[in-house]
Amino acid sequence: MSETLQTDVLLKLNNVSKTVASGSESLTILQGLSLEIKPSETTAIVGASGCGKSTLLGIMAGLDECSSGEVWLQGQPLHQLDEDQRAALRAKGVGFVFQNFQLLLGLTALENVSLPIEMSGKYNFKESQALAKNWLEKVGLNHRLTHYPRQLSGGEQQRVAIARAFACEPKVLFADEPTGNLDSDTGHQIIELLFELNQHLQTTLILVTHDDYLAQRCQSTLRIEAGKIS
Amino acid sequence: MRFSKLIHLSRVLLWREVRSGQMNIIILALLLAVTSATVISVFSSRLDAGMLDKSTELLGADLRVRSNAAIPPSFYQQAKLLGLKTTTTLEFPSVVVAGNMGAGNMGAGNEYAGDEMALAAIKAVDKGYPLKGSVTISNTLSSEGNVVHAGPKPGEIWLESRLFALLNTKIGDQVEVGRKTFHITAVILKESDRGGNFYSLSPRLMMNLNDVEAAGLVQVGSRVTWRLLASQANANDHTLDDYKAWLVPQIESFQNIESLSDNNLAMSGALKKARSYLSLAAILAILLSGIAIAMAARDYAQHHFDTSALLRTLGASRAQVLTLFILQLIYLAVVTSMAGLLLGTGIQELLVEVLRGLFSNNLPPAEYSAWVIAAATAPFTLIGFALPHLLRLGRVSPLRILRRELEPMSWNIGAVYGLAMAAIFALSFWFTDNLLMSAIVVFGGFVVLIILLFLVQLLLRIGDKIVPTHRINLVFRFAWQHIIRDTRSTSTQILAFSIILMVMMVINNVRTDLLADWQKSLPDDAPNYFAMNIQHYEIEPYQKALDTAGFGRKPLFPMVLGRLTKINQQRVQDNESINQDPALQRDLALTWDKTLPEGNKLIEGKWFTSDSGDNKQVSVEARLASRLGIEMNDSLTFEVASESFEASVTSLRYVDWATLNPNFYMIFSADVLQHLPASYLTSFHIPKDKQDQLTPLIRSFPTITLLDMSMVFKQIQGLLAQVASAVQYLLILVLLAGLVVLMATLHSSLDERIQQGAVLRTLGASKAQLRASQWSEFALLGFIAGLIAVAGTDAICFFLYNKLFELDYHIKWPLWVGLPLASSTLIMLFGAFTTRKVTQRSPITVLREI
Repeated sequence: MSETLQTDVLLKLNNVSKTVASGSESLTILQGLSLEIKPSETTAIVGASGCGKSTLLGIMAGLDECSSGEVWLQGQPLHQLDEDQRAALRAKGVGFVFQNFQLLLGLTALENVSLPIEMSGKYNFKESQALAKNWLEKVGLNHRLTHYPRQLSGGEQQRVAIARAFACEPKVLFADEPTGNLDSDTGHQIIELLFELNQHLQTTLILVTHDDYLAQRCQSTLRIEAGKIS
Repeated sequence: MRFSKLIHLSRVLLWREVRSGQMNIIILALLLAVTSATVISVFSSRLDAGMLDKSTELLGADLRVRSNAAIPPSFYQQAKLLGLKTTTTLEFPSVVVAGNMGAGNMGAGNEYAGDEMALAAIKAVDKGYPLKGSVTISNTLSSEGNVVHAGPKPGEIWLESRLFALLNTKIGDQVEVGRKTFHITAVILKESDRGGNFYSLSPRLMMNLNDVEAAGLVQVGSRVTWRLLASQANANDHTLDDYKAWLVPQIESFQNIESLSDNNLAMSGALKKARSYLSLAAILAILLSGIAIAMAARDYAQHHFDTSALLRTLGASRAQVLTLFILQLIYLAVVTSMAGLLLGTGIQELLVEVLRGLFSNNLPPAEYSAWVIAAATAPFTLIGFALPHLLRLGRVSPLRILRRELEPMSWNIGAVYGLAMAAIFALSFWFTDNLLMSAIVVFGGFVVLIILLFLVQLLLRIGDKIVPTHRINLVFRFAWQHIIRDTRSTSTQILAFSIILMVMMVINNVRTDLLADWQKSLPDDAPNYFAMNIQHYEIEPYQKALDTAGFGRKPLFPMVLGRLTKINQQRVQDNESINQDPALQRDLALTWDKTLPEGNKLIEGKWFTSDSGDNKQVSVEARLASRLGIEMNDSLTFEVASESFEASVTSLRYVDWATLNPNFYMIFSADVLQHLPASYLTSFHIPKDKQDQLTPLIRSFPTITLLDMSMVFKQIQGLLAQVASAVQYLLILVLLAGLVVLMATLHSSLDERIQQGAVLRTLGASKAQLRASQWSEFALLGFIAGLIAVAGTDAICFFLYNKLFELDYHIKWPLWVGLPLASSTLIMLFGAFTTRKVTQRSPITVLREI
């Protein structure tokens, strides 16, 4: 196989397995997974608890390493990169939204959003601040700029997380149960926001969810059962 | 749940926690607290016992009765009845003659055939002497000597080396004492119970008591001093007290029960000070450990709110949940106490080793109570510092299972601090037996800490306002933001470390500067010999002789020996609060002078002016005045050779005893003493290369007593150095305790740091960026701590030097750069080590756990 991948595939998994040591035995979480996701596609990964959904998301995003197989993201072989190289790749074109928001508690809403913009190296401090402010306005939080995460509601925190994820204009956005910690009304609002921004920016969206409504909104669905695609 | 089940569960839980490393800080802190407590408790107990031993050694007995006439037989009978050992010494001055006085049985090689005479301080000792302490003798003038616990045999005498020079004799020669001739069999190098009056020393000649009568030395009316020496077999029984109680009513006016002399008191004073320093260091170590325990306990409780809520949901009562956690604490206390006691015992042995030489015998073992106090440290610190946090575990609502944000109520902040202070105060009072010092350390320390905490927070807030964050590189900005975000936690960390640095620096400064000052205050030509008993007709020839020999001489002082008998017409012997003071039990050296002598400084009043010449004034040394309660304008009555006279106090003086010049407690205006018969004393410096000129000087002026001061100098310097190194050993414990506090503060923020690290890495930060940010944060913390420490050190030293040591303090500028840099590096390395997990764990694992 060549060391680059054709550009019409954003993410490709080739026979990916993941095993972890559990005491003296080894436990297989994912087994021989292969798949392709095209740019701008929206994909939902669904399955029962403990089937390996989140592990798969972690491997796709380069947050975790696979035990065997190949993972190509934006033409880069993740399986051959070390942690820092994967981090550099994430900084350039990958966004994240987590179930428990994962905001930095010591930073204000504005700082939480401007930090990755500045880290991408494309903008200076002032530009980052302006961009972040703009994004927080888009998610309806212009009145909460200087608030700390603990001063915000769950829905507001997730909005900050979404603003943070889109602010770097990533090619691909990974979301792990983005509505899992929210009530259904707020959950729906967050989903609408996510898809609206996704359409607007033509971002590839890959999300792990239990929420049927959310899964139905996606163009394709990957069902995982016992570490395999069913 | 049954109690046995609780015990089992608590053991299982504790073992898991210990294995996972969750309990490391509590264990370390407890261990340090118990170790420090053991060291100080056991060591102090041994030191106290040793000091008692030392003083008995200096007396030659546990108790000594001095009398101008033979001791009544009833004194011996009563002692025997109580099971005490006794012996007798007899001291008197006498002229001894060397030479060919006997029947031709002169020592081999003696080329001297004439008569050579000298005044000797004769000490006749009985069988059993010395009951405590020892005599060091030698067979040659230059060798090291052997320690013996007996006096000369009948027919033999031992001489001090000065007497050999005066008599121009050597070992094996004969000397006539009274009507009898004796063989010289040894040189006396040291006599542990020599003591006595510093100003009336003549060279020693020691003989057997049985020879006194045959020599016809003691007649009715002779100036002799009899001493009864008594000692008990077992240090812990009370027979000595019983004997003393029996003796007191029997004592006549010409008899007294003797206590230690001034010189010996100075030695025990220095040791007491050393003990205080050591206690202070130990309390500091325990206090710091306590702080670390409190932080770790708060952390521990917070991590266990969920467990507690779960147990409550499953039906456990509050009491059961609480018991479960408290049982774990009890196990910890028991195990760490045992380990700490062992470790502490080892370290105090090391301290004893450092102070070896101050005590001729091994230090006696500590009392049992010392071990009990040490063993009580762990429970006390746990109750004082950990309990308030752990009790919250009993208050967790089972509803927390559903609503994680529900936290149990905290204790009232006053109660938390109050309990901690009470615990540390109780421990400190136990160790030091000193209420005032404990109060100052604990409550004063608390107030200072609060003020400092406030100041550091203020400093950080000002920093937040003035630092242009947007101009700083992203990595460093993140570090800076972390520091100023939670100013309370940051200032605690900064303060913990700056206090440790400060303590180390202050002690180091004091040690080096005091030693340096002591050496500086003794220039190369400082007097190293005292000459006493100079008669007025000898002044001129003696001074001439000193000048000819090239010995640099200091001023000459007249001296009259006299006793202080009344203060404001009140007999001092009737005043129970002062009548045991050594200065009242012996003749004081009284002098007069028109100018304030070198090394003296007026604290109150005026020096005698020429127009106040006949006003009967006296200037008193300030510390003696405070000891005896003498104030300005008091009237003092003195007795010199049964003549009594009065003088009023017109000034108080500070005397620098370290100058090695002749120093006096009492200096009079000339009119008071001038008409009394006085002898003179002076001091002078003999350069090393001119030591051989000393013998002709001694021979030309045989009645003048010479005292070698370089020995005294060496002894004091040795003492200072030993005490300083003992303090340094304990400082290591303080430093370790400080590091545990630092570890506890870092550990309490570790969860947040790990989460932050994972989020930042998810957002694309590299490991190097994360490290740079964290390390620069620690480096900055260390730098600020170093700055505060150096400023604090200068402030404390300035105060100490000016108020206590009367020295000039010079700000040490290089430290203003060196210390912040050193502390910055140290904290950075330590912080990097503690938070290494932040970059080691995969971000996804971390994010999943939260």
